[in-house]
Amino acid sequence: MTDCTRLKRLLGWVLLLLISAVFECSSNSPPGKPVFKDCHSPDKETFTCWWEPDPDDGEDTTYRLFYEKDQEESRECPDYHTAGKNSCFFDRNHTSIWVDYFLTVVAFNAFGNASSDIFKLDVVDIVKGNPPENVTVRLEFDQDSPTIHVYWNPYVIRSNYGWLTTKYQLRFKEEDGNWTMQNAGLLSQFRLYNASPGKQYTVQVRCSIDNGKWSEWSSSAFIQIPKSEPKQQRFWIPVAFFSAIPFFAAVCILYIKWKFIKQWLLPPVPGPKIKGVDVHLLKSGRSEEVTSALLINQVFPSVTPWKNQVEEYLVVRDDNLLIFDGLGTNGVIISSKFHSEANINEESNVENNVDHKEEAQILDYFVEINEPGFVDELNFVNAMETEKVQSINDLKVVPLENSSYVDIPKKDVTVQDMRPGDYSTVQDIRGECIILEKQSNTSDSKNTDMNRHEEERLPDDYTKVKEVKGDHIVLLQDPSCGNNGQYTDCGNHKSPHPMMEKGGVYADFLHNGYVDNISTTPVM
Amino acid sequence: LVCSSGSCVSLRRVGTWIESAENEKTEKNCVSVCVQEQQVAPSRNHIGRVNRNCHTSSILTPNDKENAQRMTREELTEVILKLLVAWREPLWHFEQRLRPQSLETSDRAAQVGRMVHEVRSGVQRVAQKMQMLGMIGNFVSGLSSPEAQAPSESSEWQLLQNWDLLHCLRRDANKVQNYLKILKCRIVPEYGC
Repeated sequence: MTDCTRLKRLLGWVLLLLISAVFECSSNSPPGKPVFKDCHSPDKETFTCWWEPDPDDGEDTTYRLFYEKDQEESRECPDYHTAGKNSCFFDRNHTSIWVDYFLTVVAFNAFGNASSDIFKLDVVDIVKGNPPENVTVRLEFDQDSPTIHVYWNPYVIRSNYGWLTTKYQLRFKEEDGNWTMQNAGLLSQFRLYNASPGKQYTVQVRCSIDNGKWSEWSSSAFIQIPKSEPKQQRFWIPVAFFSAIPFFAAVCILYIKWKFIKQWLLPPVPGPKIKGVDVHLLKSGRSEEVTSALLINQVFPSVTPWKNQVEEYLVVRDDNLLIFDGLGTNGVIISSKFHSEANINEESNVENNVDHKEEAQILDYFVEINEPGFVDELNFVNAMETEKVQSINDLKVVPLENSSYVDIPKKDVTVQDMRPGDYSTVQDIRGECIILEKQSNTSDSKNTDMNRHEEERLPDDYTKVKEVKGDHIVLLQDPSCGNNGQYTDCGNHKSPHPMMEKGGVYADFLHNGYVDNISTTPVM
Repeated sequence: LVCSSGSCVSLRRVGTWIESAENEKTEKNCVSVCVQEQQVAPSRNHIGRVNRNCHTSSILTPNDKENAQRMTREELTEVILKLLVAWREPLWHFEQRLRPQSLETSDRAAQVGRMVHEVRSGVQRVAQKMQMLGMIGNFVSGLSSPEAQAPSESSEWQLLQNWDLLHCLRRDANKVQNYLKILKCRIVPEYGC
């Protein structure tokens, strides 16, 4: 069997050779090019540089760092060991700031050498602090709420007379939560208020010198907040119990005496009584008899309905109103005040049911939509000062118009309370029946939201005023005139001002806003 | 201009002599002066050729902490003012030189010039106050007519390329910043320096 053992031994040696060749215990070629990893200065007085050797280099490769300082001669690294393997540490005597360093690492072995690329640096540019040390957490109670007091060693132990400015940042998290970052300022301590009882917190701190790079995070500090004391809970339970008793008593009393209370709070309302109408008829639900009973007592004027549906919509406002511009939006000109009266009655001075609440709402609305516009304008002015180029087209300034006529824009602007909700447009009048157009929005008259759909429906019912003659006659425009909302297009109108000048009567007449078909005004 | 090399020339306004510490929002007071340098020089030959002799190299400035802290208040203030004054004309000409090329860059240079001016007048005010309080003496001559120093170095900076000029500016601004911090600690001990 000696041949076998000899064979085995041979195989072993071959294997060993192969393995050693793989691991390259000794190199058989020139080394590869080393690469600079990073250089840092923690205090602007010393700095360290690290490099990375080529991974294929053998164990016997040596590295040497050479540097030139601002046109001086080349020198070698003063300290290879303080900062660990593949590093070079420059102490105070060898460090100058505001001076350019040119560094090179050269790898040597038996077969040759290889130089890295030149690394240029200025020490003030590579400032990066070491992580803060000795981070400690302590529990404090601030008015019965748990507070975490975090403190750590200040970065500069000796006074540095303004040489370094260190700012800190900390982060903390509950047991398995996410980190929350927190700037901690320049002092080496910080307090976290209102910590949750019963939780464990983890805190870490890092620093930045002269607004340079942030250091690594320090080691974590842990703290457990104790659960809230049961004594407090014990206090609240009897209080809750005792306050519950009168509460239940009140409920019982209410239940027993419910009928009395109901009578007192909500007295019964007398039922309606209409002449000729039997309430029971209504209840039984026979509608023909009901409507006949209703109609007998009414007389309707014979009004010919307008066949042509092309009509303009006129909204008349008081002239002393606030008018807002839309900056940078759609260029809407709109009046802020309007009336929500339905009918005009020329005999009685109808109280202007001016709802100031609606005014305020509109004002608020416009303040809201204009605010971005103002901000943009301010930014524009600022930008002008710093001589930046900006497009002037971004801003649209619409001049204020002091007129009492308002264009209703066809653009998509939702305006609150533009018109009252308690109209229903008349579609047709046949004989004694008034056929009302079914409007989804007018059924609930309190709905004040207006959309464009409703806006477009509106013109059906309104006619444009052509001329005012005297005190009682309003000449309405031929509806075939035009349909684009511009009251000046029909040629008969000039600017609104001549209209106004016709007299105060005119203003009074149309004070309440709407001219509709069902009024008693004579219509042509 | 976006600063590719990472650090920012931060010329803080020295308004009153009780100046706040580091401003959190350094972007406002910070003017990015971009130096298109790489940290790797193109070739070894370049090293000898790179002649970054700033026009302010004739001004003796302390190059480390000990030397800076060893200076007296007067010396420190004088160095700061010398540096600031020396940059007034170069910045103006630099801005003019850039104007036909790029309006934005030229505007940025103008902004830097304005900031330098602000810092300078601030430091002058501080120095005057210090004198009033008797903290420094014998300073009047350098303070009242700093312009007298300017003409002697008028031609050197004109030879600098844009890139070199910016590099010099960045370095000098950093120096001014550091010296100001030291001076501030000297003047107002309450800062706990």
